Amino acid sequence: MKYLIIGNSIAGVSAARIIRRHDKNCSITIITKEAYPFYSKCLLPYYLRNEVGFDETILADEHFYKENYISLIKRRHVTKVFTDKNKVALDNNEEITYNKLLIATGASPIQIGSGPNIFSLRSFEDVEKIKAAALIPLTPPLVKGGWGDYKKAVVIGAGPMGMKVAYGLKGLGCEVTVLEAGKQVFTRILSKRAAFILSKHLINKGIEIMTNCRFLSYDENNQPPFNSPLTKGGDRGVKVGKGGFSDKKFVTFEEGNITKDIEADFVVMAIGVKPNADFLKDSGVKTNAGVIVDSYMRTNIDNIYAAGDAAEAFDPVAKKYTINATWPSAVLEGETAGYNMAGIETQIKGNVSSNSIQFFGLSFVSAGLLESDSLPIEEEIIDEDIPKNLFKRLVFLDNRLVGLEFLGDVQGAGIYLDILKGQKDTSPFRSRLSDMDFGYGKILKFAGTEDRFFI
Amino acid sequence: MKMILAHKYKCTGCKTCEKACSVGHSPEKTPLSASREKIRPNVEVQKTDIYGFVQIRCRHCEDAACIKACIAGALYKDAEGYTIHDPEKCVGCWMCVMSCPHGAIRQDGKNEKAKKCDLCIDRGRSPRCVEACPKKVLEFVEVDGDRRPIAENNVGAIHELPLLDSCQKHAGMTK
Repeated sequence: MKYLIIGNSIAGVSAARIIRRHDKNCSITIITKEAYPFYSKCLLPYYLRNEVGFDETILADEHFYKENYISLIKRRHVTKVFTDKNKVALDNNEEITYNKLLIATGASPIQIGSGPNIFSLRSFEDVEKIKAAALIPLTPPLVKGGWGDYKKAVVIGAGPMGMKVAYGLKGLGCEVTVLEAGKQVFTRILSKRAAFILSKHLINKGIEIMTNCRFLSYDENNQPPFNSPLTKGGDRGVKVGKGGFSDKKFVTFEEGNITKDIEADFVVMAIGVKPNADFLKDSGVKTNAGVIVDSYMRTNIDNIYAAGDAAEAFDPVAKKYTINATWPSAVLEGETAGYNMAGIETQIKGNVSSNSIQFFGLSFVSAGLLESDSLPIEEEIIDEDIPKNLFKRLVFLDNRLVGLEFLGDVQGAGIYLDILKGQKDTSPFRSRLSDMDFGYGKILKFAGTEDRFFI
Repeated sequence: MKMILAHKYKCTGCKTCEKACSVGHSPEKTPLSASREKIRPNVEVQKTDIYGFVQIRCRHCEDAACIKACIAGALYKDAEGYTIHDPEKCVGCWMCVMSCPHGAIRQDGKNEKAKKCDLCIDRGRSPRCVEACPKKVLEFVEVDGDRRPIAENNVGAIHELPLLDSCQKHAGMTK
């Protein structure tokens, strides 16, 4: 049996692990366009901030592939999939056959405009480019504006990636502004109230956040258009020559109906990602935004599966096919695909959106549906202390837990998320869920797992 | 492998185990330093409906959800099957907290990283809570793959999971 996996990140590697666990004799090949063994894309913002080193981002080195007899083909793109012939073509015209194929190609950042100082964050190379742009070259204080100034970074998009990049850039010493077209940070990931508390904290710590601001362009040759004092007399900035600062550059954006601009030495785009599925054009594999899969992670083609950021699967809380572009979802989808590919029929369960992060000591965990204009959701606030940045809220729909957000204190979030994933009627214990001292003990009877705690 | 289990109905919720844990994991191994540094215990005593009190700590699940959830490779299984957390690698992203169905992984208030019961590995896996319990409720006993005690009166006990499907071998999978 030949298993072929396109993509060497968490979805692909999770699948490979499961397949190898259940089939010691099969052949497993992973193809990646990158030059590295399996590394944590989620650690890239920490790598940007120099909180972890390059080595620490590698989650499975060459050893792992050897021990598990997984053949890793690096630096190769798959250009075509011949679904009728069970083979793929690579960019060097090499062809590889398969019995079962997994598409775990991930997604790439959506970019508006291009230029040497517009970046996005998805790979090591991206981090290196951003670091190079962000760090002040060590010029002597004699140079005007050289010492003590900070690089001005503008991040477009206040979702998880944008905020993590902003946090990372702040850690590198940049002056950071985040432009968000929507009304809040972490749209759909936090409620308006929680987003407000988080924004306040980040602003207090020096990250400027501008909502209702829609990015228009970052044209480095642009004259700042609206009577900026810098255009008077043709003097647009401090020209210092090699190693120093070049002319000032501006991001143009729209706030309400007013066009404005803001100075930016470089820009990082974080407005979302688009699945890497272009190579499937004309292959017969059904795609929408991503590769559509059923609850067994199967595409419309019998022996082709998909998982991770490239896959579009059913979200039981959102109640629609969507791409949950998060690490936990990629693990779940990758493993489910692995089980099914190895012949163990397994339906995915609990493929909901979930996020967690920590900024300047303020942590949050959130999952599912947090606000709705149309559904009759009920909310319950477990705890609230705005001055202490504490806010814990649950969202119910028909007695099912459909959403949670814990800001400040994330203790026990996993218990709630487990209940949320189950999407069952919580009536027998619903009232306990909002107890401040809620813990696993309070639902032990309902979990039926008491024999794991007692002799 | 061995796990810490309790005698049903015997725990009175005195929380001496929690104190022993905090003290044992404090910088100077004293109540003073535990209080000063605000060391939270790795175990939490909670009231249940029928069994009196239960002590919630890491179950070292065989197919641990936390290990898969970790983005930094800070959680892994050792040779004996215990789930180990490495604070050096931990970045405090809380993916593990989000994935633990027991709520056994905690926020380490001091350095904002995750932490969980380590069976007092610094004492060679000799848990302080077991030693400290004034009523001898806790025992460090052999368990099977489901982390159920291999004891006379519990061999082969299988329970239906009526309302929650948590703690399954393959977290998130239905068969």
